[in-house]
Amino acid sequence: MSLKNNIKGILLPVLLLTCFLLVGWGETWEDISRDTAGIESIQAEFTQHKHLKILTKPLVSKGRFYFQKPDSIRWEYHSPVKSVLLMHKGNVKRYTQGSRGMVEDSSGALSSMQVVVQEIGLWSQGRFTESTHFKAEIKGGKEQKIILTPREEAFAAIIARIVITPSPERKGVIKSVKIVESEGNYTLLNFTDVRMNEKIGESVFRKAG
Amino acid sequence: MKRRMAARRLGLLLILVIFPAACVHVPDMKSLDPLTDRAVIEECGRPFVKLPYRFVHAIEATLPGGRTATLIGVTVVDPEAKFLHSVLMTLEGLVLFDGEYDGNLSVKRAVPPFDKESFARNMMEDIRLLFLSPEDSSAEAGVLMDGSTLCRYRGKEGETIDVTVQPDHAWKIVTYVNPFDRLREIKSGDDKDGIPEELELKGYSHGGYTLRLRLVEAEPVSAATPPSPSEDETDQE
Repeated sequence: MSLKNNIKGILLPVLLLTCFLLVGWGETWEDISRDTAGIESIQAEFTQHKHLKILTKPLVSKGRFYFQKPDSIRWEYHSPVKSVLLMHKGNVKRYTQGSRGMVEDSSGALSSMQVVVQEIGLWSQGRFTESTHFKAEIKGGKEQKIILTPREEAFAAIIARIVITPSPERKGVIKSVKIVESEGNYTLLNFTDVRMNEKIGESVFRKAG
Repeated sequence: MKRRMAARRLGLLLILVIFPAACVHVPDMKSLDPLTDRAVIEECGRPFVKLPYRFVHAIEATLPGGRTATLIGVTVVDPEAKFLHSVLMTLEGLVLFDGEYDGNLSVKRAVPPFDKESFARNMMEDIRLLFLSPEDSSAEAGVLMDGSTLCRYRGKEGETIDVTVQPDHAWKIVTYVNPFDRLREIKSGDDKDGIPEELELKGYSHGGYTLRLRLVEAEPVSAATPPSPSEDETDQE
């Protein structure tokens, strides 16, 4: 399975979700690992701004995501296209609203998700430096950031870097995630209404509706 | 003997049944007179973009074998310059394909499986047919029994392009190389301010595929000039 195939349309949201798990981080990887140990679940609204040179204003998508330890994720778009990505007990599915209602995506891209889930297992424990695909770096200064850069050239041709900005006001909350593909082309995700360690029913991760 | 006759009859019956289904119905046409047929010519231009425009569509693709995928497509069209710029991305915003066409195809970015040259050429041909009027100026035209206007153009590759506009302004485009070899078929759905909110394109090559385009945004742009930076281009990093 090629590296490029692994990220095809699927890895991106997973990266973002996984990054979100690393809330409450400190200034070292050890701090981050310790802080993430207490996170059982996360829920948040997100707004996605897609910037492209071809667009004069960003294309805005909105949705909500859920995470439940150890590896259950629901990544849901409400607009402009209704879509749900579900990861639960090693199974990955995606449903999109189309002309025949909510239809499961069968384009083949999801087969790579089994590999990605292994990455999540590492990252959700704050073990960034053990990732085989990304090299992680903490940047201090006025506003702390975590920079992820691809280890392999094939990957770097698709994603140049990912920049995670923690919320300065609320410990344990991510403010934004920026995925840079190339100069002028990037995706910016802003998170709001973040709720942590609230009970989430299992069906949220199993059912598209 | 009787069995042979029966087999022949059955064969003939199958030909009569199957052939009309596989063929394009090709009505006789008369040549256009640019002076007297101006209204007809203008009606045939209804499907095509008149001014530089930017479109964002949600694209539901049904691929050979029944596989489905939904993508976002951004297209800038400049009809005067015959220029197209198309970006195809996942719902999460990952760009899979970025290419331009100005008579020649230029691919800026292509992620597997969208990096095959045949894919890029076929996709640009789809987009060209969706938005740009055929370059053939010597079209034939006529009015059909149901009141629809039909114009027939010759494509660059020698294919025939039939544009049919119904009295209710819904339209259809069919391309074929002969009455038995259909290439593409496009149907418009309801429109808003003259821009279709839904389009359906059926491709009969590459194993057959269907693209259903739902309009997300449409806005006029200045002619094929580089766009200004996004509002929050300088946002946080």
